[in-house]
Amino acid sequence: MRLRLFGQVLTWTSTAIALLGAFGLISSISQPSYAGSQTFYCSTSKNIPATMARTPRGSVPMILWAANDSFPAPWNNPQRRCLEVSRRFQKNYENGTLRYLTTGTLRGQPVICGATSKYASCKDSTVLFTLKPGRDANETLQSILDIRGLAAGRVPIENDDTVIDFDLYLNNVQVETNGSSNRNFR
Amino acid sequence: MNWHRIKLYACFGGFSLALCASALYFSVSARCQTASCQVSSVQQAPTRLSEAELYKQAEAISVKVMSRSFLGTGILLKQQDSVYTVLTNAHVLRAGDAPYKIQTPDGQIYAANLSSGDRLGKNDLALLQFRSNNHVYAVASLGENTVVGDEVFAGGFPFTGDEPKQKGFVLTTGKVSLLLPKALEGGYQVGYTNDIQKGMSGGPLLNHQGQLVGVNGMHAFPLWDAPSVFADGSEAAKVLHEKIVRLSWAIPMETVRQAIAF
Repeated sequence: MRLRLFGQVLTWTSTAIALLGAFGLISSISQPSYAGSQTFYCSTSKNIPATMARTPRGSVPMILWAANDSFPAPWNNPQRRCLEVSRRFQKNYENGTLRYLTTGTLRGQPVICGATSKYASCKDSTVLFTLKPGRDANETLQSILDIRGLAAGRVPIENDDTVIDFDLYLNNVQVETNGSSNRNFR
Repeated sequence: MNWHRIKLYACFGGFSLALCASALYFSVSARCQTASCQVSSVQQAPTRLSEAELYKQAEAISVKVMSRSFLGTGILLKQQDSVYTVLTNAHVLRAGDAPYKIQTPDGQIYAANLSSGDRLGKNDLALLQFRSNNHVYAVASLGENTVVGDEVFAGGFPFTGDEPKQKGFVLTTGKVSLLLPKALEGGYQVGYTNDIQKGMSGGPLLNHQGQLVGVNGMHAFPLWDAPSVFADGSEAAKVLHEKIVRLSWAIPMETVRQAIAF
């Protein structure tokens, strides 16, 4: 089901995805190595958009993005969510706010944030992603912490049941009111 | 005795007291090592295995842990009648939802139940049990703790997302490089140079005799840099942290024994 939806979205935005994919490739080539700054980027794994982390051991898929029509447009496009979350990871990493991960609430919705200390609270600038209301943020946080260094083998693909979807979606209020997606991408 | 006295004279004759003390220390410790070596060599030396034998042994005690998809590796730890107990990491089970399944080395797939783990505490360990009436499987032979410099062999089923099919069982070779006096979060205490891929969590770390000395769980170079945190909540100093992130990490046998009643 998810894959079928994904297929529809793919057809619908194939040109956009191709362009975004090319952009992702170019930007990934120019990223510095682990020694300088860690890099997060959006690529594809088995044709599914994937947030990747580049490490000295190679690039590792962190999150695979399934199509999900419950996300508000334009975030029902998994490529869009992949690009945005990858960018937020990268931004937090560069700002030194990926040292700790915390949970919090912003605008009434549970969020996962980067932080410089264990006790820092969530801010717009440190949000990695927003969860659907009612979703257990601690469980999602644990998944992200597990992915960082532990060596479980759940990589996601093969069929729609195994596609990781953290039920993450992004707060797109700013994008809609500004009529521009750039603001969130900075 | 006479020998010691000669040494002492030599010290007074020209060397500093510090040198003298260290010379005595080394002479004494060398004797102790010889004595203990004689004891341990009687117990262990004959069973040193070739790499091919180790691979065979590691593969025979390793299982795939799955739910709807592959989650990680497990170790056949114990057999009681037709019930087998499999040891894996808690985070391997967290990566999926129950019901869990075990695929044994002969390709059979069994429904597995979570076994009560009262003593597991905050260690990154979990136990599964499955029943097999018609097939008999090897179980791990349990070793003691390792020391720095020991050659060790890490087994498991690597899973790389980009490859159409999963690789089979792999066994990587390396050495114990760092033993932490206090464990990292999850009970990780043995740092080693073997490469650990995603999917090898819950797999066996074996010594040269093919005995289980630890459980794989943490790969080198985490996806992003964040402090290394000990089980007591404190953080490793920067110099130590930089050593930690370059190594793979296992939960030592001692912790496994304490966590699981044997």
